[in-house]
Amino acid sequence: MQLSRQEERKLLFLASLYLATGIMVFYLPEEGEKAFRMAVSMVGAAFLPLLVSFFLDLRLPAADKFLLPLTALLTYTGLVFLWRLNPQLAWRQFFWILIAHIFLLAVLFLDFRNLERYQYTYIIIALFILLLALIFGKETYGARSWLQLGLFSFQPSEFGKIFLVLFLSSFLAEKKDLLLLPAVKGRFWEIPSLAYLGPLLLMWGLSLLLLVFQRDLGTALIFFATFLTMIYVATERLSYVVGGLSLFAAGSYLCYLIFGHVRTRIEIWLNPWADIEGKGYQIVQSLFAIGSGGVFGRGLGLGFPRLIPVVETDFIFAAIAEEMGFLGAAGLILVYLIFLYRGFKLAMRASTNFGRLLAAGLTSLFTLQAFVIIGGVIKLMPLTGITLPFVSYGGSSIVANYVLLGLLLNISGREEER
Amino acid sequence: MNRTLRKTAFFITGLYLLLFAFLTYVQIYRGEALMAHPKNRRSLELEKSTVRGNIYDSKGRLLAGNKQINGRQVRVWPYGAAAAPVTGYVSERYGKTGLEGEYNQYLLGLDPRQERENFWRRLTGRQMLGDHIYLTVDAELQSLAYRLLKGRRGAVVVLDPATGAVLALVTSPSFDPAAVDTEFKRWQKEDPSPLFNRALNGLYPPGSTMKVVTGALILEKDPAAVDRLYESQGSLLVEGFVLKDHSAFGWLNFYEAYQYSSNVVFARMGLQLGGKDFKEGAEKFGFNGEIPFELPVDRSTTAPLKELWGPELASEAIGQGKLLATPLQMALVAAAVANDGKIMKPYLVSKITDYEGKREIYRATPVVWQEPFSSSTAALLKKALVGVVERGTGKAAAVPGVKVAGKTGTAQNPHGASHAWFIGFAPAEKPRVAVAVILENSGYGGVEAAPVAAEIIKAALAEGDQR
Repeated sequence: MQLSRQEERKLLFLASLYLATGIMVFYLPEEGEKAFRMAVSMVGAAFLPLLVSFFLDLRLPAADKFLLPLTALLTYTGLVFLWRLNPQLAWRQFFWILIAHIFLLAVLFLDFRNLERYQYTYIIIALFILLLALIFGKETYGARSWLQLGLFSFQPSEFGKIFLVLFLSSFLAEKKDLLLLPAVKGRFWEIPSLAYLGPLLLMWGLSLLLLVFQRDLGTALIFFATFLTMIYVATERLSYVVGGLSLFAAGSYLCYLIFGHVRTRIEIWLNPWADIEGKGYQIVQSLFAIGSGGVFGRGLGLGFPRLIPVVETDFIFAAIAEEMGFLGAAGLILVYLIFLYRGFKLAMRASTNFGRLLAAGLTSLFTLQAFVIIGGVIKLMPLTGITLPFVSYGGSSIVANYVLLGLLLNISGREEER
Repeated sequence: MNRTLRKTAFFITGLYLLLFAFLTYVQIYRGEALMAHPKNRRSLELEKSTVRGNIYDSKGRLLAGNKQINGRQVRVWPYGAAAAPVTGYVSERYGKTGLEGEYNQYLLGLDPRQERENFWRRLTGRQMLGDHIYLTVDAELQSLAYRLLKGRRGAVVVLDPATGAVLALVTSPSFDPAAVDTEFKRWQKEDPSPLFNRALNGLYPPGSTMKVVTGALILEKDPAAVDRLYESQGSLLVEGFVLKDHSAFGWLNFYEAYQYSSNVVFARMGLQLGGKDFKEGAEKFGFNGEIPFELPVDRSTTAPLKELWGPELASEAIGQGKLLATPLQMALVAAAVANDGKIMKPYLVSKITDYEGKREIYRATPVVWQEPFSSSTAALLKKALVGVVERGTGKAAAVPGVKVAGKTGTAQNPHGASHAWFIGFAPAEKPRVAVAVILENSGYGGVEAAPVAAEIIKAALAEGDQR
């Protein structure tokens, strides 16, 4: 058993070589405080996951050994690109990575099996923080999803997502059978009893609420997609997914008709070239960056990603595509894909429905988020302002995603234990 | 539950495959178009982080370079409007012209080796460097020629006939490249436009300067023509079309026909040649074809063969009719006589070096471009053209102590007064400079253009002696 963690550390070592190479490119011509900070963040970021690895040896020796190196690869890519794009944010990101690892260790101290019983607590917390954002939220880039807490601004929806998955996992694990009992049954259709469907409709309502009042299209989309995924996994019925999608489509269409900002998003997506200097500016700049990258990229530090607005958060993928080329960008997507594979694999190995649903829900949540933002940045779908998990700058995003990682490690470790 | 888990995983994998496919489309299939899109500021930004190479004249004088003004790098052209037809301009808004445009890749250091070096320079946070370009042009001669035109519409081309090196290439009116950002729109509308490069793109009837070509073709076809006598009764009737001389010259020998510039004699020679020989002969000088050059040159043209008979042929033999030529073309005609019947490939760029001047990237080697006639023909023509300056219409081109050869032209045109032409070379014994001068609508070539040519020849030979 000790040996398997050794393998994880080998992978982490390789990842830290990748980090060191990237940082060195920017470190060499620098001196003084900036160079010092770069060095500190490099050593620190390389050291932190190793610490977690040793901790896992002690407490959860059976935990999946690929998740930590995969996460490190994503985090390091983000850190290197932040040093390249905005040194001030890179230094802050390092502290967020530090804090995120503390949260990660804290989650590893828990036993996920004990988490099943607090289902209503989760939904109340989730609703509470989302409402908080709604009421006290500060509008940034058209979305009212930020909470200003003194020095920090905090994005509650990042944590809200995890609480919602926790709620759904425990709720569906318990009520799964009831959902399967049709109360009203026709020849070709069936509707589950309203009493049990209630909380689920609540979820749907919540997503649309987000969409309407927070103008946070991306988060709403991910909430709802994750929700549908989990319903499907739990009930094994496509009819719920189809029903849910129809509801979502209807809701979205309504929003398209009623709300100008939704309409604008769609129009920009369909033809950003009509208004290059205005509304289409962001996405066109992103496409310019990606296109200029070509197959091999312009080289780290040799492109002009600063021409893209908010490149450090939503558009960091465009910067990566410009400087690392198709090979680098596709490599990054591949990392998410491997993560997806590991996540579902551990979901399948889980012994309880709660474990399965939690692992599948968290993995879907995070891989769908990556899909939605990358898809938006390359103009595969309308752009929605969300972060690229583990890579984009953002405290709430990094910490929440490390909590997610902690839960997945926890599930894999505990399941193998028995 | 595992069945649905697997299906869900497959579904999300499918979404990711969509990402790969679309990323391939955007980055690889559309990549180059996106890179080259005019609104993509990347190439501009890349240019801004490169120290653009300088352009020097043949004596190492700066024609285009960079200056720091208030911490900003600004492109400067010390010879301004005089050298503008060679250097061209650089503007973020209006692009690049002249050598600044044609040699942009070098000036930005984009030749393969410099590009590699610049890659390391960028990695280490240093500024990228462009290559320097050295020209055959003599900046002082260039300025003198520009001054001699005195703002009149016209052009001057000066060549070294033995190598094809362009010593001066002047057009007037011209523009100051430093003012392009503010003045461009006005220049565009102005008539005559200072942006128009008359030396290379101006198409004019060459008038009597064409007689050098006609005479050469006759001598090639019939060397005995030099010993014949020709009669001019003052006019020639060709199929109902009357061609006139200044007066009835009477009987003229070959050399006298040049001295008096008899239209009747040369028109007859043209008819004697026939359309096919005239056209093919002119094409050996460069007519109807591309002149290889670093800057774009317009094509000098004869009429199509089916029109080249009777009146049209007689007219073209004396440089009228539909015949059109650029000043560069006519300078090459003079150079052909000077260089024993061989036209050297004209060129402006003598060498290109890296920014530090350590490494030579390119060096021009003179090559023969065309051989329109034999050296024996050249010797006869040379004698005839010396006669023109010593005793004939070109006396004003004479330079004390130097044997100048040349031919004047007074080209009728539909735009008003005749164009004044002079083409020639000196010293006749061992020519070092060939020249073509045109002044639009200003009258007689022997009166207006020849004195300008004399000044240029004097200065060019003096400059050359310093070497």
